[in-house]
Amino acid sequence: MTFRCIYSLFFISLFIVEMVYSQSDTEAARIIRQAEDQVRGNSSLGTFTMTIERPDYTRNISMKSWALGDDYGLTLITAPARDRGTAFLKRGREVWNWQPSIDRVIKMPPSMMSQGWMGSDLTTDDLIRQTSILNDYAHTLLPEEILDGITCHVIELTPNEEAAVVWGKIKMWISKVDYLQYKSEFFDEDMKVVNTILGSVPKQVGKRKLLTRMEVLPSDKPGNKTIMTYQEIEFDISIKEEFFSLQNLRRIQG
Amino acid sequence: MRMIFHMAFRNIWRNRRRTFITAASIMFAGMLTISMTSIQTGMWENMLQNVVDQSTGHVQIQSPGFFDEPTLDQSFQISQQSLDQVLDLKKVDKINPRLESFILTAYEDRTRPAIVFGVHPEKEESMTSLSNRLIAGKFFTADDQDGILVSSGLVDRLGLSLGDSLVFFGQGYRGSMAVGMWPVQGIITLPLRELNNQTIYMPIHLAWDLFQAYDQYTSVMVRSTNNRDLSSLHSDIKNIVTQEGLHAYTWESLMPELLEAKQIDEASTLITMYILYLVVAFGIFGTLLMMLNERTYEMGVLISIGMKRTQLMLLMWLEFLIMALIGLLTGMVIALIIVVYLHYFPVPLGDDMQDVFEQFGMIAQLTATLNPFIFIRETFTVSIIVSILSLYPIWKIYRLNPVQAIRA
Repeated sequence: MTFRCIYSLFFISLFIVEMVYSQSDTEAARIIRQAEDQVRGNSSLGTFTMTIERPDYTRNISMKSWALGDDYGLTLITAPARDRGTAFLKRGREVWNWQPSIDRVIKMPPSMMSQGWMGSDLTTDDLIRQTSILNDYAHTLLPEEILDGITCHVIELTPNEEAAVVWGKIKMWISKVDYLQYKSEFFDEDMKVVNTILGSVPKQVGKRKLLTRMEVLPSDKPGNKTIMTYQEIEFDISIKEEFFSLQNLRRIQG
Repeated sequence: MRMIFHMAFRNIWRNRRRTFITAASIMFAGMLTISMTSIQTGMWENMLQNVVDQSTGHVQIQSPGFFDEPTLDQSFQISQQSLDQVLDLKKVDKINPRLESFILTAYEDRTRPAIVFGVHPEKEESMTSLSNRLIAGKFFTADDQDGILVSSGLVDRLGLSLGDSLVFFGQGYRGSMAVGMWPVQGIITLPLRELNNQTIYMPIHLAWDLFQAYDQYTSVMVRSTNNRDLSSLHSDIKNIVTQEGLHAYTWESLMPELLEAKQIDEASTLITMYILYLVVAFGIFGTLLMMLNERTYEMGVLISIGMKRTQLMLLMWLEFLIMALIGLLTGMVIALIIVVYLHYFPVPLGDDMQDVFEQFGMIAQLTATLNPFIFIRETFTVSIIVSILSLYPIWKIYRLNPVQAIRA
């Protein structure tokens, strides 16, 4: 879920979660759906900054993102100056990259899909992978916890056997009052924490309430951190599928 | 005494075929041991020289983390002052700073991974003689704004030709995007297939621009004026670069697996050599035995007519020594011819062998070293074998019963 959330931060498709509520409607599933309802939308436009922190340097990237549904996303880099104008187009599971400096559109090769996107702690694969929190996982409600003074539901997600997911399990902290995901932990097959994602700075955007800052903390690299903040976001904008084309990828400028 | 010398010479030329066979067996012994050892040592020397010249230098300066994690983020800046200090060291011949990284290259619809070496053209040229590898196009100079050299294997894989623009796409320094496009200015061919399939050289300022790693290097190769006493050179360089938080490595510590392979190969060669010594020793012994048997009657007669046994012993020993000398000298001459030829005209071993050699980063060619020490050592070994064998006729004469010998 949280990766979807991040993915939504980039390609800002605040997608429609599976409308088929086939799963038994447990309390845990209901909480998750509530949380997803907060961020879901059919289309959106947002401006973001991504800060990559490393022990010896920090890098800031600003971008603008359009999204439509689950499948379409377009992100334009607006800063730093050297990368300005670089754009990414996502259609389904494929990603293209427009590089104005060499006047080329490059389809992201598989080897680069598993590298950190723009040098961050999230791989391109993480950002576009589509797994369904509701359908691919079994949900268990754990006792409530208080996280930084916010009372949270704690939900443990264990993948269903046939689901194509990479995590051994996911643990989520969702606030009781406003259903915001304040924290998620991603575990590998050995049940060790691989990534922690911390959400903060809740903000009212139209009818919705969102967390506008997210920190990704990879456990195996202390001192490494990726922070994503969004400045502005607008939901349910009028945008068509044709917008997400290779032609438009070349044309789009701010 | 003079008479014995005289007799020895006469005996030698009396039966030329016999002399020839004995001398030939010694000749083969000398020739085989000398050329085999020279070839074995020569091939390793050749390869290590290659490694030192082409990839590591005698000593290499790196950032401390690069050895465990050879990525661009482990590159470093080094002050001109430190570089000058290193160059001023008495034993330092040349230095060659490089920036090296992996990247994807694309031409039309093909994409291949490549290793990019950002180099100062004149420094690279003086250390690795890169321009000798050029097979088409033009070599680059420091002033070239956009000329890259692509290895022929990569050119084939991408379907490139001279003047085509090659697209670079990958990750640069500290998470930046590495994107660039430059025309192919020259095509080089590298002896190691693995490298030939993926190597690109470009002037350092292009590499800096591509990876956004301005003034950064991943390594500085330092070449010494000679191969000896690298440890003092290593510690001198280390003292200079430690002030900048950098490390210096000797080529041995950068290539431990190569050194191990060399030791294993040397150990197995040693066993082969001992077997070879044994074989040649028995070969010589065989001809010696034959000769003595042929001449038992003659020796019996000589003792019967009053020749002292000591005189006869001296005679036989001298004969054998003269034959050994002839054999050894011709053996050395032939070995010298073989070794010199292989040294100056190495013989390629073909593609199948190349696959095997590639694992060790070696070029599959037969070559030899011109190390006089090997000549002396192997000649000495064969001389010892011959000296031990020459005791046999003495013992044989000591035990000789003239009556039986004549009747035999």
